[in-house]
Amino acid sequence: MNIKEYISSGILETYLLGGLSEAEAGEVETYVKQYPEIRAELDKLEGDLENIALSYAKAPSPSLKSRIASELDFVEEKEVQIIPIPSFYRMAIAASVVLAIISTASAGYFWNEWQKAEGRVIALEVEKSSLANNINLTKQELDKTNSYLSLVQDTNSVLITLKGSALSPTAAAKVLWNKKTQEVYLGGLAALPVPTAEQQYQLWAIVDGQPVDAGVFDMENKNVLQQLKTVANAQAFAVTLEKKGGSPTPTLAALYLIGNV
Amino acid sequence: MISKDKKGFDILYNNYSSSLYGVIHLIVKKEEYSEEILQDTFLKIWKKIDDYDASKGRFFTWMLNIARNMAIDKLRSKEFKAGNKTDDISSYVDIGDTGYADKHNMDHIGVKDVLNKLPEEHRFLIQKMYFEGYSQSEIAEEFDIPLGTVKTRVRTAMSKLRELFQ
Repeated sequence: MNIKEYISSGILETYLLGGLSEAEAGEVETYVKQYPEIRAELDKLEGDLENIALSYAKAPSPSLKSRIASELDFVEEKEVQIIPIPSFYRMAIAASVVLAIISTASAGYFWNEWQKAEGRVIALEVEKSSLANNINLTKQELDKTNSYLSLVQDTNSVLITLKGSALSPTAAAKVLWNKKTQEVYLGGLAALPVPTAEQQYQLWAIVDGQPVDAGVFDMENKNVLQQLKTVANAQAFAVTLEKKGGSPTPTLAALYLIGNV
Repeated sequence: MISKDKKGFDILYNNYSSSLYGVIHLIVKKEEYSEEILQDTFLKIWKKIDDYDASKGRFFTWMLNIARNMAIDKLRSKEFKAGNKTDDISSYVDIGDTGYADKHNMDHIGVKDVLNKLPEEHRFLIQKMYFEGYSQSEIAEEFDIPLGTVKTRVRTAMSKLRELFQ
């Protein structure tokens, strides 16, 4: 599932405003439990709704509180025995009652703050892990680019331009071949007709007049060097269109590209 | 979380009654109904408080939803409709009634009538959905807005509201 898309679809807002059917709402709740990023977003939106509600706050009439209280069943509080106590203790007790009230109130306040902070921490964690992912991806790209670069700089490497045959005169490709390590890379694909799902292009090395299979390749990743099979002593390279997976010998009628070393 | 004794009720009532009452009043508009609904809301919260599931969302939001649903139920009841024959309550109740704002002096919070600051098409959606209990598909059908548009508009509306609070 694409979480970003899900969040930006507006479904969470609709859920909070009560606009979803029960089934749809149930689905949202499953995702909320499953994905911390969605949970964090929902929490933020809940905060917004709370702000709206608070901005419209309005005190009901003072008598309502006791009317409601008289309708409720309370769990009994512990009976307190009343014993006369010296005034110093009375003061101390009064002070501790005040303290208790203050701490109850601040407990409520801090509980709220804690909830908000928790939402923020989740959001930050999600952000952090996505940043770490990006860095990893970038590093992988950089490693790849560096390895291409050292390949090109290697004195044993040769760059061969393959040109289109009569079948597609504007087509072109580059083969980068290291004579010593025998590694073969293919890139710079241009104007090759897109093969059907049952077909694939295959690279051949011409060694002493004989075609040697150098592997099949795909048209995706046009801008990436694709590493194919290693080849020794090639005098030329050619590309033919073959059945998917390649053929043991080239179909010369479907020769698309050729170039000499 | 909240003990079900008198003290627990005091905490709950003192902290939340005004906000819940404000929302209820936005929906039904009438003092006498609002107080009755607030009372029912607290009875229900008291009864259901053990069902509250923190993994689904905030406590205040949970309470707000109870209050809102009770108010909307009232809004749709026969009794309510009979008492409001002269008012067309299905029509859009203007949240931004300045009389309301002045009368109840909400200035102390510093945010006066945020919903009224939204563009009409956004305020309309929030009004229908949150304050009148329409589902997205009912809105789509009745007002001839594509379902996808309802969602994206709701999202825009909420992000505009967030800006208003910043």
